[in-house]
Amino acid sequence: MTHPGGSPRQLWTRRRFLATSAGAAGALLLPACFSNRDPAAPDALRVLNWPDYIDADGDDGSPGTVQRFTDATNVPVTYTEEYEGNEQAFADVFEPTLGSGQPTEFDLVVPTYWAVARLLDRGWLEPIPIERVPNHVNVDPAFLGMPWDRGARFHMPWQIGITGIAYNPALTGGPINAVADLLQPALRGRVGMVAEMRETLGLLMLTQGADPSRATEAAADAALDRLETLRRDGQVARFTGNEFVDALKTGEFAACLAWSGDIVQLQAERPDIRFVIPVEGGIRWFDSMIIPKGAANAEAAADWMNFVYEPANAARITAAVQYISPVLGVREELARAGGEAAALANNPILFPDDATRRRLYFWAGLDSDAEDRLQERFSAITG
Amino acid sequence: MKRASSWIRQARATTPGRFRLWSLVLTALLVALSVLGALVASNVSGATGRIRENTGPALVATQLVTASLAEADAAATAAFLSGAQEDPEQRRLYEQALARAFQYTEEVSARIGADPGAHRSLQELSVLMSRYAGLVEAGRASNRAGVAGAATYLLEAVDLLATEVTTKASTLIAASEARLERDEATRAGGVALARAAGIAVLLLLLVAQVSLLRRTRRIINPGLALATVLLLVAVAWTATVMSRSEARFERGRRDGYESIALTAQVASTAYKARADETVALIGNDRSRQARADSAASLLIAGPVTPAMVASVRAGDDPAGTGLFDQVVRGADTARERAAAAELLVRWQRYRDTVASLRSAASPEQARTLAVGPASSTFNGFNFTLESVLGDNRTQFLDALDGSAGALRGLTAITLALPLLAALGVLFGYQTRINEYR
Repeated sequence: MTHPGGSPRQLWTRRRFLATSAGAAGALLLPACFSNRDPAAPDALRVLNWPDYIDADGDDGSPGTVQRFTDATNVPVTYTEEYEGNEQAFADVFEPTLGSGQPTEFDLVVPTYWAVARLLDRGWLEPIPIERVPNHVNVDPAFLGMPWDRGARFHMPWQIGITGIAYNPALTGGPINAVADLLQPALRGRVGMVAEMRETLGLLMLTQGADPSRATEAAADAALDRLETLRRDGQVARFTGNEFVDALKTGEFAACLAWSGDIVQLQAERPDIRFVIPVEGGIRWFDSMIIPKGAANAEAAADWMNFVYEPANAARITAAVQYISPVLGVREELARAGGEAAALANNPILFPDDATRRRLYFWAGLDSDAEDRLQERFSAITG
Repeated sequence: MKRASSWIRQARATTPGRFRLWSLVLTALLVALSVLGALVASNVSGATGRIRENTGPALVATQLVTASLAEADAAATAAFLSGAQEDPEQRRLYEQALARAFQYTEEVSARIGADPGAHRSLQELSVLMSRYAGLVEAGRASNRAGVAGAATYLLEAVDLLATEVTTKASTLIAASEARLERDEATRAGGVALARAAGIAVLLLLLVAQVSLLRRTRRIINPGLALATVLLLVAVAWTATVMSRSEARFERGRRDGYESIALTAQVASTAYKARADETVALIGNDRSRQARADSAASLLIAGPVTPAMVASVRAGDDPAGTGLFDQVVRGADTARERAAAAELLVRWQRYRDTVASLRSAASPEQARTLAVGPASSTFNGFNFTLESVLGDNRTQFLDALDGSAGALRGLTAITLALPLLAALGVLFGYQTRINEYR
């Protein structure tokens, strides 16, 4: 994968970070914070995002999105790459401040969609000043229909991923098309699953004929029962973050549940590794930009949203992070750019067709007590 | 009676007696004013509270029943078009919209109080909605099973919605609007009388003060002066509060309810255009395309251009008379204009996909476009519209909250201040009477 600046670089995606940090709860915050001006400038836009989730400045001096935003708007940005995971963000960032009516230190944060729904439910979000975001018209309609925020008035998606199946045909002995295929005895002990409850459970629910976008506690429990059995029988070797990339490379996993963006990157190096959206369907997830309640510089946050929703700017981010863009017009921009970018424009994982989209499901939120209980049970199974 | 009239005659014969008479008359008037004021204030507060808690939300919910049903219809036809391999997204949208429509009918039912006519209409509407849902399900089952004639069920459902359901819903909306008018009339009832009475008593107090001044050529009577000030405060305060409440109510009506009614009309018209387009495709009926175009032209004449969108954002009033033009004219903040501009852009995107599917090379290609880009672009328009409806609803209910909130304490003030003024009158005259002893 090549950054806009042209220098090839191994990305440490937000998912990789999530997996790593999950095993080190309470670890120190990453010091990865960069600013293009005085970070203490009172008019600075303060962004909190997952690590390596944007195009950085190139080694040849070409500016990344942060710098180009400042050049275009004259608004300095303090861009902090310390978002460690949603639960941890609630514990470290949101609860201590917003929970007691105080603003956070940030004007714009990028949680995962279900965390955005939770924040909105608690009244901890500012509405987006859409009068400053004419590019709001570029939000893909699929993300305007969230039941918790019709019309996307409180959030704007940042990047989207699909959880599906990755496999090595040489090790599986043939194609894997369904989650059910992962459960065949021949693959015992060589299958991986992701340590994200909503994704693994969602896929298992699909195999049981349940719809994760209309999740019920009973259906989720049935999926957990199945997962427990699979774990006990040794069918699933382990649950990972995106360490599945290394496990696929080394052959530890013949097949596994995997995140689309990581596999797109891996395929540059290992074109033999396949990624499929299971016949039962895949799980779609996204991280979304929000303005926390009381943010001092909501207008600059809106300007940032408008900037990154300009298709040309969004295309540069897509080329760097290789996740699905929620911005209309990105595909055309990539095609226009030519070269590697144009190849991305034809990548079916980055730009799923309508038939594929119809097989993708969002996890529907249950109430937080139910989700907490399910998470506890899931963690007990996955270890 | 005789004793009272004899006492009055005797009292009128002496100066202290005349003072006593004045004080009793003024006190009686002030007590009566206090009771009248409290009754009127309580009536105004009650009517405003009723509008906030019942009439207003019921009216909004009634409008939203129609909008939700139209949305369900558009999604149901799109899901049907996707064939045996049904589009789960459209199906979800259909189920959610239908569930919302039933929820809104429940809300209306809970808020319309004891109005047998409205309850009957609502019940009939619910029956029609269930029939509609049944037809959609029958069409869906036949479609999935590949049974011939599946489209007949759906076309029947669409027609049921476009005729009987819409008529019944319109009856309910008219009844809700009439209830709002009634509550508004109740709200205004007695206010003018109380205001006139307050001013009249105030004038009498001034006359009494002037009369005392002339008779005694002395300083102002403190008791009467206090009473006058208290009554002046009561009248002025009540007038201010009432006018503030009224202004908020009117703002809610203008920016909230009338916008809801207009947006709901936009929604129904757009959904009708969408449903007609889809039915044209299902039934291969070109006359439905003409109906779709006709509905679309009610929204806006001609295509939406980037210049038009820029002009909306800039706050320029459009010259057209379409429903979108009316929405734009009613948008009086930058945020509302931005939302209107987004509506226009997303509607045009939908119309562009319609143009593509009409010129498709084959029916299969047209269906693919209808299920894919046309559905997607229409959903974009629809969700934006829903957020506008949500904003209107919030504005309306907030304004009603403000209107009701402005009246807080009104009853107590209108009761207490005239009574205190009455005490002031009694005290003021008594001090003068005592000087004669």
